[in-house]
Amino acid sequence: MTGHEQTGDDAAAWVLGMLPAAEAQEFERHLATCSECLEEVRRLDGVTDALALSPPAAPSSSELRHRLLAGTESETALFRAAEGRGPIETPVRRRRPGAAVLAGLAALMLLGAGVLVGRVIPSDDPASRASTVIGMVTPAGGGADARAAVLLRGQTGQLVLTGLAAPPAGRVYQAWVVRSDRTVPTGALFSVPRSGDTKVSLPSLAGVRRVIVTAEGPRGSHTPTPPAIAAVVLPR
Amino acid sequence: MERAARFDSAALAELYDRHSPLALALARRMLGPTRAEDAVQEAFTSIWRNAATYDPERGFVRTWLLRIVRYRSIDILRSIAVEDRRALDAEHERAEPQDPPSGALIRRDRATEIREALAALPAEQRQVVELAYFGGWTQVEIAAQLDLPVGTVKSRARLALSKLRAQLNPSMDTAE
Repeated sequence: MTGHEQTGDDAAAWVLGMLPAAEAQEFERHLATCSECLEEVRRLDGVTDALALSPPAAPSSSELRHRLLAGTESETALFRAAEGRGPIETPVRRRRPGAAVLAGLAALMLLGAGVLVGRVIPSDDPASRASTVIGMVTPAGGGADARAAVLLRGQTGQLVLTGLAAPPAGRVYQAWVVRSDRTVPTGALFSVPRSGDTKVSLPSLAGVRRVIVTAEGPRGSHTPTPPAIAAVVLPR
Repeated sequence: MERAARFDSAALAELYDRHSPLALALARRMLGPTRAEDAVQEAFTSIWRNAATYDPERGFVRTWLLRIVRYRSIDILRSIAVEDRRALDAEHERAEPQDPPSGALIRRDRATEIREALAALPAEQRQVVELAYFGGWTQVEIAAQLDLPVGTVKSRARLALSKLRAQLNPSMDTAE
């Protein structure tokens, strides 16, 4: 068998999704440099799209329609409620990084107590400054007493959650960052201790518009699937 | 889709009304009736959430949606016990006997045309395609199930897709 017969077989296996992850990635790297294999993939891709149409049509479900719309309306309301909550700048000394987290938790506790948190005059040194951005948690998803915030420090940050209810049975929480063109997982799958308080380190927040949390299956997901239970809208 | 991009519930409802029968059909074929609705709800939510990234030049909404339904279904399949997955495959084999296509000159809908093209494949090739596409099994898992070398599984997959392509041409597009 020649090299291209082999990669032709890989093309069919790839469009069917049956290559193991490492081989799929290797083939994708090959595709970037091989027009012949790319053409083979394009030739076969339409076949797999056609296979999706082959099962006999199933009747629609009005209950599912209702659940779907209720879920997306809940997420829309969450995002709208989280919009416009500006950052609270908090001066933090450089040598005490833990103080930034404490400041975020303190802001959340004050918010939970119904106290309006005002802006604190920032330090003159930008590197020593942190901002706490308060978000929203859906009472139905995360619990009535749950609070969320992102503690910003330059381009990095931490998601701080307090009073969060445990995820539904068989699920774990997953944190995501939402950019204008895509939503990517942070890699953080987490449950919560009995207190409901937890912190999640976030990747670079450059270009990130929102940080959201969903309750996913036990191994997490590549894309957020159920409606978000918490959202923090970051300043532009 | 432009309305969906603005978080418009009415647009999402329209999208659901138009495409949910096909989405549910694919999910039920892959997951059975009890798990299918989860995959479909997640797929529509994903479409709604990512509507702003939809590029009409890259394909039809229906194609995009059905790909997401399939990916979600595979995620669900890979999270359940192997015995349950095999039971789903066996249930399908019992439920849908693969009749060869008749030569009658009747106008067939697209789904029927594709089913007939699948049914016309040699059984060993069709089996590989169905295990991979609908069952979400990897080539290694299929090889183990069928007691074949991985290379043979891949060759059968390629032959099957090429034949399907030839059979379904020139109506290879999936116009809505």
